[in-house]
Parts: sequence; structure tokens; C-alpha cells
Amino acid sequence: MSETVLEPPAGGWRTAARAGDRGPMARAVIAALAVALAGTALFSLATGALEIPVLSALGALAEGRETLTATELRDRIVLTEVRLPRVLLGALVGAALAVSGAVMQGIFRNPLADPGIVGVSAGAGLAAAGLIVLGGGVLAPAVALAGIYALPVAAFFGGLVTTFALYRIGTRGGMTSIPTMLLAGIALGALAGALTGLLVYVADDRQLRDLTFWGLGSLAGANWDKILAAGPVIALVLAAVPFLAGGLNALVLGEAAASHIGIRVQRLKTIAIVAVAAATGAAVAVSGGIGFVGIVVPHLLRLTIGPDHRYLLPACALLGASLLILADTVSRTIVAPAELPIGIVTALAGAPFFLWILLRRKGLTSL
Amino acid sequence: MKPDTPQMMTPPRLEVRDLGVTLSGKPIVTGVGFSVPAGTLTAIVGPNGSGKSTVMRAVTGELAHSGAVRINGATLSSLSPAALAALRGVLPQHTSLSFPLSVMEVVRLGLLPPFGPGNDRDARVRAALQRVDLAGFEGRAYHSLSGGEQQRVQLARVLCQVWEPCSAGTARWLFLDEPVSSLDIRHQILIMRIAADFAARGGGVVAVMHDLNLTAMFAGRLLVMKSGRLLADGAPEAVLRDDLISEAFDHPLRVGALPARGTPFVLPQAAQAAQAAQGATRETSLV
Ligand SMILES: Nc1ncnc2c1ncn2[C@@H]1O[C@H](COP(=O)(O)OP(=O)(O)OP(=O)(O)O)[C@@H](O)[C@H]1O
Ligand SMILES: [Mg+2]
Repeated sequence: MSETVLEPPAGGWRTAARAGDRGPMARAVIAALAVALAGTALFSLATGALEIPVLSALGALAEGRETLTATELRDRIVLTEVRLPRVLLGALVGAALAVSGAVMQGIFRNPLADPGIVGVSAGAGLAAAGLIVLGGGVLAPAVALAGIYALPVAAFFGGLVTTFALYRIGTRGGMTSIPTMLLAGIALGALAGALTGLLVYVADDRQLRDLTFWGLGSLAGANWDKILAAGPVIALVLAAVPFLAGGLNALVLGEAAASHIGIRVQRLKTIAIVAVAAATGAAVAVSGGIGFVGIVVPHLLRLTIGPDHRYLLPACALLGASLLILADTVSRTIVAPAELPIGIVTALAGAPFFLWILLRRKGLTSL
Repeated sequence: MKPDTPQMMTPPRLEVRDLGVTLSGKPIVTGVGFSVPAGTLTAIVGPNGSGKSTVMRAVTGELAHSGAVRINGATLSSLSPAALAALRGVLPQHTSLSFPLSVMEVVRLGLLPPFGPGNDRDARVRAALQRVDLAGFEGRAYHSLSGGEQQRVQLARVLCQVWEPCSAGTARWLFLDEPVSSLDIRHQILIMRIAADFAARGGGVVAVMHDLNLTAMFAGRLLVMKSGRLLADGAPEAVLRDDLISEAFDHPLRVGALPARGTPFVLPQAAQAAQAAQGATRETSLV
């Protein structure tokens, strides 16, 4: 039977098998997104109250300060101390949020699963807020020891505890009920949000300002310390996540079928949950709760290149980074010299766009 | 029983001893034991809810269970997921995709990681689709297929996984839970032929079936389940008897033999009687 069947068709296997294979298109999209990210980053570096000739300024970074004119020196300081950290942080946070969303959706087998929706961000935010408000007391020595890493570490554990809590609630006798987990996550998110709200009443003025920043999220506090704190965690997760792609693809068939094709499903879920908690925690620690990126970006890309995680995850990282840099550029220029919280920009632009996509779909089945 | 493949004097077996499964605190399957050889198509039949899928899910390592399961002599728990995947493919009773894959992408999931790169992969995916009569469906969205087409795509995926029934002296296994339940009659026979061919070439096949006549045509071994227990186990000719099969399904059934080959066929009694009684009305309504 197989002998006759394996005869190559007219045009050869390559062209024949192309149908249904979105790989080549996905690779082209990823290349385009990489170019777009570079372009967005340059655009954002060039944009602001001060006009900076970015390319020449970046090119001159290798030269010593003494060779520069006063203007060039000022440009360089604005570039390296203000805009560059901000663009880098935006890219890191955007990539972390979009990839976390995609991984979580893959694990939960649901396009609505997102660290923001299932309470992971809220849990991370609560831990970070708790550290800000209560960190001066009993925790002071530990906080001092952890230095710039205190906030990301606290947020990471907040996210991790939330994720494991909702995982435990959704699991009975080795079987995990996804709808139960989603519902539990929504409840846990509400609880964490309320507890964060309570902290406001025990916070002093300076703490209060720090806390408000969690509400809508912002990249305004970007500096090299924050990049040093969150960067390695996010970079590690981004580097590790491609190894989950095969397993996440298999999970599209369901947990049982995935294990039947050789995936260690429990291990996959554990690694993915830790990765999501780490990336979300790090992102929340430096930027607060920026919503929406984790749902919109993966969904948009699934519509374009399909759900294959080998392409979806890198594409999410690139598009998430670009979009957040863009949103941040808008947030710091549109009402200049004041600033909009970036969460307002992502929601104002993202929500209608997302609704438009939902309306435009022909059927209701292909979420 | 069908003859052994030449290179193996005793064919590898699936051995299940005293299998018990408890779900939500309820014993669903109790004391199920059987030993079936590769090279034979084994069918499991029984009423809805009798525990057929539960046995399949336990035997394929999905459900925790008591008792022992051995495939080709190795206990289930001693095999890693990857080793198991190389040894056997599983077609579940239901599969729902969480994200919209194309047909090609679904079938390709059956290609296990060590599979060689390049054209080879595409060739197998295509060949698998062609075997289940879905050539040209590569680019279709899985969600847009009919129920029977989806079922055949899933089978193509499983075939991709266990391509060779027998390699390096090891028999591979197919576990199929109702592989033809939503197929038309031509495709039912096509899929049963693929399964029987797999067994004839030395592979092991265990299939849950509802169509007793199709089962009698293709199975070399029949397990009958009722209320979580094994009611009968043997060759179809021996098991398909009026009393036994009527008891299994709590319904009067008559077994005859097909003229040409002597294959048993099962006829539901009440339906026959009802047909006779309705004869007159039926004729008028047909005009
Ligand atoms: N998770 C569960 N909790 C409780 N009972 C269950 C669970 N899963 C299955 N059952 C029960 O176990 C029994 C056997 O189910 P199983 O799916 O094995 O039946 P089956 O023989 O495959 O039936 P069908 O022909 O309808 O596919 C059924 O009565 C079912 O209600
Ligand atoms: Mg069943």
C-alpha cells in the first residue's frame, strides 16, 4: 500500500506538501517583524521634546566624550540615560507580556488565558505593592540584600504563588479542569487587586505614588537599574521558551493526545508556569500592570501565521516589543510635557482594534 | 488466530492483568484481564458506558489504574513517554483542537521528534492522508472539515506516528477508540482494512467497535465488556452467539452466518419484528 502511495506527484513533494504549510509565510512575517522592531526602536529614540539625529548619535557612542560638542553631549546623555533605557525596557516588557500570553494560552488551551486575566499579574502586583509598603519593617534586611532584584523577585513569587494556587484549585485527582482554573484565576485576580487596594490605606505619600503606578502601568521610571533587574529574567525566559514550542503544539490536541505522542505533559506545564510567572513578575515589577498585550498580540499573530508555536513565540516577542515601544512613544509625546500612563494607550488603541478583529471574522468557530 | 510473522515465533503481546480503574471515587472498571498477540486485530465491544474507553485509556497510560499492563513484555510504567510514543499510537474517541490548525499541521504532529528532516516528513504526511482518502486536504482548516473527515485526519496523524507495524523485530501497536464511528460505509471498510493490514504485517491493533458486523468481518479476537467487566473473550465465531451477545447488550439479538465466508452477522430481533408488523404501512408510505 505504502509503496504505491509514496510515488511523488507531479511537481514533486515539495510543492505538493506546501499546501497547508504556513512555515515559509511565518518565517517571512518574523523577518518583517524584526525589521519593524528595529525601525520602531529607532523612531522612538528619535522622538521626544528634543530632536536627536539618532543614527549619527548612536554611531558616535564609541567615541570619547571629550570629542563631542555641547549639543552632541546633551543628545548623548538624553539618548543613553533617558530614551535608550526606556526603549529597551519597553521591548523587554512587551516581549515578556506577549510571550507569556501565548505560552499561557497554549497551556490552558484557551485564547483568553492571559497573565492579566487569570490574576497572575495581579498576584505579582500585590507582592510588589506589599514589598513597597511593608518592605521597610521586618523585611528590610532581606530587601537591602536583594537590592534592585527585591521587587522583581517579590513579583515573581507573587505571580508563581497565584499560578500554583489556581492550578491546585483546578486540579482533582491528576486531572486539570481548564474552565475551573480560568474562573479561579479571575477570582484570585480580584482578590489580589482588592488587597493591593487595601495597601493604599497604610501607605505613606511616597509609597502611594509608587503604588498608583501599578494601576495602569508605566515605563516612565525606566533606568538601567530596572533593565539590569528585569532584563536577565526576561531574556532567560525568552531564550528558554522556544524549547517549549513542540510541546505546546502537541497540547493543541489535548493533554492526553500530547502525552501519547511522547510529550511529558506535567513537566511541560510546570516549566511553562514557572516561565510565565518569572516573565510576568519581572515585567510587572518594572512597569506595573500593562494589560491587553498578552491577549491581542498572540491572537493577531495566530490569525496571520497560524498557531504553530515554533513561529508564534518569536513573532509574539517581536510584535509585543514593537507595540509596547510604540505605545510608550505615544504615551510620552501626545500630551507632552505631561505623560499618559501607557496602560491607557494600549487599552485605547488595543480594545477597539481587538473588537474590530472579532467583528471582522466570518465565522465564530476559528478562535 | 492469524499466523505469526516469520521472524518471530511467539508474537509480542499486550497483557492486561486484573485491571481496575476508579474515577471520581467510583469503580468504573474491575478485574479486567486479557492477553492479545500482535498480528491480530482485537476488537472491544460492549454497551455505552460499559468501560471500553476507560480500559483503552488505562492501557495507553492515560488513567491511573490498579493491576498490570505489559506491552511486548515491558510494564507500562517502565516506559518513558517517548519510548511509549515510538511503540504505539492512540486514536482517542474524541479530539478537539484548541487552536485552528490546518490538516497538514495536525497530521504532522504525528511525526515524532527523531524523524528525519526535509522532504521525507512531507512525504509521510501526504502518504498518510492519501491512505485515509484525504489526498489534497493538506491546506484545509481542520475546523472546516466534516466529522468523518476530522476522524480520518486524526487517524492519519496516528498512522504517521506508527508507520511501520513491525521494525527491528519489535511490533508496534495501534489503539483505536471507535475509529469508524462517524464514517460512511465505504470509509468504514477502508479504515478497517488499514487496521487489518497493519495487523497482518505483524503490528498489534486494539479497536473499540460498535458495529458488530463490521467487527466480525475484520477482527480476529473479540472482547466483550459489560458494566466495567470482561464478559467474554475469544474468536468472533465463538463469542458472537445469540445468548451471549443478547445478554451483553440487554437486547434480543440473533446471530447468523454470511453465506460466502461463514462470517457471523448479528441482527437485532425487535427491529425485525417491528419491520414485519409495519410491512403494510411501510409499503403505502413508500409510494
Ligand atoms: N471522570 C469520570 N467520573 C465518573 N464516571 C466516569 C468518568 N469517566 C467515565 N465515567 C463513567 O464510566 C463509565 C464507562 O465510561 P467509558 O467512557 O469507558 O464507556 P464506553 O464503554 O467507552 O462507552 P461508549 O460506548 O459510550 O464510548 C460510564 O458510565 C461513564 O459515565
Ligand atoms: Mg467510549
